[in-house]
Amino acid sequence: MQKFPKVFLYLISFCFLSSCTPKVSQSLKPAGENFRQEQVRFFTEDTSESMVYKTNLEYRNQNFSSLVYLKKTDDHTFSMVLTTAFGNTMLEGTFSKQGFVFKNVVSYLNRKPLLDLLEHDWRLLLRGNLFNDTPQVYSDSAQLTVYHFNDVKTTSLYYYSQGKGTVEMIESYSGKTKKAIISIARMPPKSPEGISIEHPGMDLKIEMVRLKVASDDSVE
Amino acid sequence: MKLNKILSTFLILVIPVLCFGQVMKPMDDTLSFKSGLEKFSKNTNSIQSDFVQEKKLKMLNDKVISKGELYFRKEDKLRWEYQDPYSYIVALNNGKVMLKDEGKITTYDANANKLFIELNDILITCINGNIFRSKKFSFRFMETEKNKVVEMTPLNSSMKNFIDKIIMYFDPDFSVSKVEMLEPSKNSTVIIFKNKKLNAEIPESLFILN
Repeated sequence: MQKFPKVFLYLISFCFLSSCTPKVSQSLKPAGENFRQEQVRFFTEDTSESMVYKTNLEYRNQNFSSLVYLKKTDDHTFSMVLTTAFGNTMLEGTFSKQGFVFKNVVSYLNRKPLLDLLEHDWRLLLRGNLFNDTPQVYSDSAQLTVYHFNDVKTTSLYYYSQGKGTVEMIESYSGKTKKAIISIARMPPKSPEGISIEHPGMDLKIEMVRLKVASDDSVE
Repeated sequence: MKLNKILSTFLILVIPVLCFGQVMKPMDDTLSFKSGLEKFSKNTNSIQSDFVQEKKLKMLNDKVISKGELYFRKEDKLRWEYQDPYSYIVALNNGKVMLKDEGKITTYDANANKLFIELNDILITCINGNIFRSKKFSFRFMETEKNKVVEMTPLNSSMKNFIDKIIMYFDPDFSVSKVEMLEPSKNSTVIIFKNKKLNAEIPESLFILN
């Protein structure tokens, strides 16, 4: 009498867990020697000048224009400053393997969910610059290799175009839910000219267009 | 030993002059400055000026320069137009804020809007000569050989969040020639106004974005 509900519970848990596992992780192969770190490295390692991106944030039909300054500030760190179009600092971030730290955040942006979201996006974008993790291959064809990275709470897919020699899209999942879609416009070996980030669950879109190009813009 | 002392005193006194080119001292006659500014604002119906903005980012050890044009018409019509390296226009007209970003016209985010209105309120009241009636700042009046200088420190906490100090430099004709904004992050913005035209005809259409 007591055994039936226990079996039933196991069955339900199994069905629930397998339904939460993203489909993408069901046919993975080791990446092997075909994977090179440069394939997921997007930003120049030049420490002399910042890259500047005009950034438009669209949240529930509200627009907010800003500027993002990004620069490699030492061997292991990238620094980022977000300002208004008028130049007032909204927040600063230092990103390294050891951690993503935000400081000088103006009060109305100083919200944990927002800073977590920023960290999530920058971790995806700076993966190849800051980390050395080896992915697995989700799918492989002559045109496109999809690399699969397993992070702490999320999984990410990097769509690497063989022809263009760069990642054109990143998808990030939390369970089965798509958390972010990042499209990257880039002419390798240069840093991205445009980055578009969409958070489908939040009705949030971020468009970044590069304004200032560092003199040494080569990523490799 | 004595020579060293004299030398170091000399260097302490001389280095700031060499570095900054001009010595800042407390303003001799604040009353005549205030009345001169009031007279200037009474006689000025419009201002048109080019500007060069230099943003210094301490953490990145970098500076970024942008350029554009500013238009002001009494009482409260204002147009900031960034032209280089990006196109971005903000117009303030009858209490409405309009924004044109790469050809797209939108309304501003409420919070960012608040900051924008605060900054423009400062600029407009400076032009109108009403700034010294503001209870949002404490003031320090200084002067150099070339300019009258007013250092403004915000008193309210929401403003302190963005700005440590605003330093305004006035030309001998009492128009603003330079604005320095120092931020709590230690980043700073310097805006220099060039080719100023006072009381030129500025069409209404410049303050309407479409």
